[in-house]
Order: sequence, then structure tokens, then C-alpha cells
Amino acid sequence: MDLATFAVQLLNGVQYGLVLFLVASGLTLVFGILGVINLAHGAFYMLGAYVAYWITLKTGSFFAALAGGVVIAFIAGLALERAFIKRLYGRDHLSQVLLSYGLILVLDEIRHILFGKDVHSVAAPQFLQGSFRLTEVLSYPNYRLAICVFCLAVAAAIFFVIRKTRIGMIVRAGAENRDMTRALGIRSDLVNRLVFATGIMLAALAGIVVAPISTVYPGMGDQMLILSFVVVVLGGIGSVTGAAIGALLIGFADTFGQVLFPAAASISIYLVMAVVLLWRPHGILGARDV
Amino acid sequence: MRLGVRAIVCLLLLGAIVLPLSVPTYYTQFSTKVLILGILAMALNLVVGFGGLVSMCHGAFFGLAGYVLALSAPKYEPAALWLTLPLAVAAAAAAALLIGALSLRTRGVYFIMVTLAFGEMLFYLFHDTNIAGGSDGTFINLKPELALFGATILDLEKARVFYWVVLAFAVLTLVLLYVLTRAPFGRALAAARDNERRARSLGFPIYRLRLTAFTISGALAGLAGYFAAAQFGYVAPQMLGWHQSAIALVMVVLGGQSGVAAPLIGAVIVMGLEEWLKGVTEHWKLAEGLIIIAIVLAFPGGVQSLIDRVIPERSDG
Amino acid sequence: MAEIALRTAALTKRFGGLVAVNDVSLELSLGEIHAVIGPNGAGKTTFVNLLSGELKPTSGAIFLGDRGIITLKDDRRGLSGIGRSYQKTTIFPAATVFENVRLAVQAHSAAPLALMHRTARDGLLLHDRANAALTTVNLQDRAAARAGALSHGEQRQLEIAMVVATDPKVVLLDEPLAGMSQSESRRMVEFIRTLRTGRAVLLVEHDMDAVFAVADRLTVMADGKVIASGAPDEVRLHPAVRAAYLGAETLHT
Repeated sequence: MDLATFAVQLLNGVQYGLVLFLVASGLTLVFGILGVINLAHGAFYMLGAYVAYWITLKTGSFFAALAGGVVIAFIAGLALERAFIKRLYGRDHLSQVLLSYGLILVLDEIRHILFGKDVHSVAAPQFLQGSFRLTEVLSYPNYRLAICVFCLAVAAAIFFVIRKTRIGMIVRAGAENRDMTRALGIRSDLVNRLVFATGIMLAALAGIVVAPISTVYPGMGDQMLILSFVVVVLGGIGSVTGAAIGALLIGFADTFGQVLFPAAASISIYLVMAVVLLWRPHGILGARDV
Repeated sequence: MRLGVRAIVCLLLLGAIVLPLSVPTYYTQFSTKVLILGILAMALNLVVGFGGLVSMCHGAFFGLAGYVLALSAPKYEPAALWLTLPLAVAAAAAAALLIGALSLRTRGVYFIMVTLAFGEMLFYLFHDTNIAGGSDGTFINLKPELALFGATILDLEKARVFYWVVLAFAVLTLVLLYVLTRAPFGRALAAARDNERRARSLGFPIYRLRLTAFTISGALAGLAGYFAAAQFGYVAPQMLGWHQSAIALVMVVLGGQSGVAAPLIGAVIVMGLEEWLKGVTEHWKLAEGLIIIAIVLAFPGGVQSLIDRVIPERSDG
Repeated sequence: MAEIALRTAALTKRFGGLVAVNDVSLELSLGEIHAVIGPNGAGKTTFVNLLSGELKPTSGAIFLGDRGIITLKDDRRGLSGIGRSYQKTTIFPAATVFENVRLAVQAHSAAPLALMHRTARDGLLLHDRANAALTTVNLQDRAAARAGALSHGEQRQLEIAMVVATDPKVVLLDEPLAGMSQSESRRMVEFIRTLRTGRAVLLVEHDMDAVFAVADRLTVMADGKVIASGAPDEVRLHPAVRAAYLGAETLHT
């Protein structure tokens, strides 16, 4: 692999990792603070992409899709938390797994009813189309760079909220010791609802953002779900920093894996996970008290 | 077992045996499918109900056994049952041993996520490579048979024979699990589920205990998968997927987790429900999802809790 | 000189910047009850967790007889003759009282994970040992009751019965009297007294009456360190000990 190809793959790895981080951070927040394992997380990624497709189709503007999709996802998150998720707090994992599985079936079928089973593509906004030159023969798509920048901005915002605000302090405390924060009565219904809605919104945001570069297809939620789980396990449940590390690890493993050993690429991710778990059964930055 | 319970069990067994003689072939085949999934659910329950571990990769053991049959079955002849069945079960057991050895190093939610991921790894192994047709899957043209010196003893092409063979294995599975759960092994497993800290403190080797349970459970899931593939005549990566694992979990929960035979009831309910819903609406998955959600919210103990409300709790043997 | 069943050498446990257990060297001798007291946060329970194997030390050593057991995990320590009761009652609430003790006996039997039901003779042996353990704590009448339905005091008795049923050489008791009524405490103290025969007992307690009634040796911990150790009557007069506790009233002069 020459330097230019390597650079391209590196950028791809970073971009993929950043998108993964968006999804995984939402998942790890929901699990770390609310103590709920949500299998339907991937479904929101998928729905984000489909809603982006639909809004772009109707309005012709990707930014309308971005804004609209995020708002819809947030509101949906608020509603779902109120209706179902809040009944899962403190319940056993099996119940949570099953309820979220039921939710997947429902969401998938809703997608089927609203958007059909077709595969779609979404056009990137005009000014981001095209690519810029890396070398004489290689160039990199502008939109992918934009994704990197955008995801970094969102990541920075997440880290800012977590490190510098009161709500972030609650998040960190909850990640370290959920029972303690609960006992201290810090968490309230509203905080829970906001956390869940934010988690869902992050997944949907990721789906919207990748829509122009990946095809929008029914199974995309499943694939992203498993990957985000791997990232969360690697990084440690409840740790957003861990999710960042895990996401980049997996982003690189998958990207370079696809190039170097295409047949074994998907498997390589699980091998990375297996190796990390042998070394640290609670993930790289996970708290022991889960 | 008390006399009344024994009588009911005998009646049920008798009814199950004569079933194919009294109903159309379609229902015989449907019942076979229910029994197969019942074996899967019972296998899973050893780990989930008795072990207290939520495994999301049993679909992978189920599917792997099916693939082993597909790969070892000759193209235009029936496969030899006595050879391919143990092979498939052994493969499933080996996978369970390997995956269990790694996954059981984790706890709680990590365990769920890790088993999910390893299950998917097996899915991608068959989906992305050409081992058995990739995403297209492979056909199994003829059903396996049990033959000795050229003479066919059991021809699984006949729906009734297939049904009785599966019924026999279902009963065997039931008996095996019954013996296991009442043995010191089963009691230790339940103790580890109820209070792992105390179980460890007493000196039970928890890792070895759970790995053994996981492996046996995986082997039995493989047993089910072998017959599922044989019946369907076709294997595809979906058989290994986590959706398969999730549906098995639904059956376990619906049946209630406290009895060895309870998951069978769960299988009957889920299959019956799906059959009915499919006839009612094209969007039956939506209904199924809503029902699952409703059951989780309303009945955390599954069917068992309903039964316990009607029949007062009997002491466990 | 009584045989030393368990001893620690400079045992230390750090949690990040916090040193919970600091350079603790302690001996547990057979036939002795060694009480460990100290204000809250002194590191007593952390110390017990280090002994039972549930926590890994940052440095130091633990010897069971002649054998260093630092690398031994908690389940193997349980099998090697260390029994422990917890601050928060740790039993199997869904099982019957008898089942609870039977499991303890099973863990130390020849084939604790046997895949098939035992022979009648083995089963009877387990049965008898379980019943014997129940009788020592006077719970034989409650054998068929669900453990979760027992009173708090009875549950703590059950826990001790389970520990005793495993025939341990070393018994670690972490605040066994917590939450007990006067009469229950008195009975438990009497029982603890009988435990010392043929065993080394570590007793972590806040109840000073009980401690001075049964302890053969007394160690006082504060801020993770041992500040005094020796015969109870000497230790109670130690100036550092009096300073550690707020005022002399708490030490019953």
C-alpha cells in the first residue's frame, strides 16, 4: 500500500470511527445512566437515514433533512421514554432485551409501511459534492471530510457537556456508580427523558449524516447495532471516552481489514473484541460496577 | 412427580404420539417445527432460566448445526443420520465451548453484548465467505435417513417419520434437562444465579459450572438446528442471526423460565401466534412486536406467572 | 503457641489515590477469636475482602498455613478452608433453609458439580451434614421454610450455619451482629464463642460488648492502618486507640 492509499484509508477509518462514535456514545449513555440495554438503537440509525431520504426528496434540501430528522428523533425519543422505556428502569436485562426487540419489530414494520423495502440513495448537499486532490492520482470526497468535521464538532459538544455542565456531572457520576446517584436522588424523570432522547437523536443523526455516502437499506440498523455494541463493550459501558477509543479502534480495524483481508474483514472486528476482553473483561475504560 | 402430574404428562405424550395419525400433513409438519423450536428454547432455558445468563448467540449454534448438515450432505443422496447428526451437534458444542470460554469472562450486560457480537461473527463468517453459498445459502436436497446395510430404517422424507424422530429427541432433551437440573450440577447453577457471591464464597467453581451449562445448551441448540435445516431443506445465514436468538428468548420468557418443559409451551404460543397473525395481516411483525412489548410490561413472569396465579405454587422437587 | 492458620504480611490495597488498607500484618491462630475494630472507613471490610479473595491487593502477601494464596481466586479460597459471612446477609433467599445449607455441604463434597443425581448413600451423607449444621445454630425446626421468609436474625444464623457447614479452618465474620435484637445478639455471641474450637476466627464488629466478651486478641484499625494489636485488656488502654475513637466512653473503661 503506498502512502496516498494509506492516507485515504486512514481518513476513511477516522470518518467511519467518528460515525460509530456518534451511535455508540448514544448507546453507552442510555446504558450507563439509565441502566437500560436498548436493542432498538440500531433501528433509530436506520430510521434517521430513511427520514433523511424522505425529507430530502420532499424538500430538496439536505439541511432540512438534517434539522428535521434530528428534531423528529428527539421528540420520538421523549415519547418512547415516557411510554415504554421508563417502565424498564431497574428491571432485569432479559425484560429489557425483549422489550427493545419488540420495539425493533414495530419500528421495522413502520419503516416498511412508510417507506417500503426499497434501497435508496441520498444526494449530498451541492456545495459538498466533489472532491479535493490529495495527490496527482488520488482525491478524497469533500462530503466525507465534512462528515469528519461535523462529527468532531458533535463529539466536542458531547465532551463539553459531559465535562463542564451540571448535567454532564450527573452523567459521569451515573456512569461510575448508578446506584449511588440514584440513592442521592440526583436523577429525575426529566433528566432520564432527556438522556434517552439524546441517545436516540445521536443514533438518528449518524444515520442522516451517512445517508449520502452509504445506501439507505432496511438492514443497515442491524449492522450498526452490533458494531456499536462492540464499540461500547470495548470502551466500557457508560464511558463516552471509552466509546471514542473503541470507535476509532473498530473504525480502523474494519477499514484496513476490508482493504487487507476482504473476506475476513467483518470477522477481524470480533477478533479485536475477543483480544481486548481477554485482557480487560470490563472494557478498556469500564467501571467494574455494572 | 405427583400422580396427577404424571397422568397429565402421560396423556400429553400419548396425544403427541398419535397426532400425525389424526391430522393433515400440514399440521404434522407444523407440529414438527414447533417441537424443533421447543428443543431450541429448552436448550436456551438451561442457560437463561436456570443459569441466569442472557445469551444472544444461541441462534448461531442452531444455524451452525444446520450448515454442518448442508455441508456434509451429499448432493443427490440422503445424508446418513447416524453420521451427520453427531457431527452437527459436536460442531455446535465446540462453538459453544469456544464462545462460552471467552464470553463467560464477562458479566451482566457485557455478557449479553459479547454473545450478540460472537453470534454475529458466525453470521458474517457464512454470509461474507463462500463456504456455503454466502448470502444465498445452500439447499439440502434430500432429507437425512437412518440406514443399515443398505436397508432404510428411518426415512425422514415421510412427514410422520420425521415428526416421530423429532418427538423422540424432544422427549430425550426433556429427560436430559430434567436429570441435569435436579443433579448437584443444576442446583449449583441455580445457586450461582440466585446469589453468585455466596456461591463463589462457598467454593463452587462458577466459571467451569457455567461453561459446562453453556456447552451442553449449545449442543442441544445444535440438535434443534440440524432438524430445522433438514425440515426446511435450505440453510441461509439468517438461521444464525441474532433475530433467531431473540425469538428463542421470546419463547423462553413466554413459557416462564422455571420449568424444564416450560419453554415448549412458549414455542407453541409463539408459533401459534405467528401462524394466526400471518393470516390476519401482512404487517404481522408489527402486531408481534406490540404483543411482545405488552407481555414484557404486563407479565414479567411469562405464562408461568399466569399459571401460578391460577394454580397455587407447588414445592419444587 | 497456637498454630497460625492465616497471616498477612504488609497487606496493602490502593484505590487510585486512596489507601484503604495500609501495610497490615496480622495473624489468625487456631482456637482464637481475633477481633478487628475501628471507626467507619477504617478499612476493615476491605481487609476482609482481601482475605476472602474478592479484592486483589496492591502489594503484600497472605499465607494460609505455609502457602501463599495471593493468586488464589475467591472460589478456590472458599474451597481451601476460608469461610466468610458478609455485612449484608448473603444467602439464597428463594431456596429453603435446608437447601441453603445443603448447597454449602455440596460445595465441599466429592463431586460438587455432578451431572447426575447422587447415589443414595452419598445423598444421605450430605443430608446428615446439612442437618448437623442447622442444629448447631438451632434452626433445625425452620428447615423447610423459605430462607427469604426468615427474620433478619434467623437469616444471619443461617448464613453462619452455611459457613460452618463447609468445615472451614478460617472463619471471617463481617459484622455478624448488625441489625440484631438484644436477645438475638446474645445468642449469636454464645455461638461465636463456640466457633473458635479447631478454627481461627476473625471478627469484625462494632458491638463492643460482644467484642470484649469473646475476643482473645484485639486489633484496632484506623485509616487503613493497624494502630494497636494484642490482648484486649491492653489494647483498650492504648492511647492511640482512645484517640482514634471519640472519647473513652466507647471503650467501656
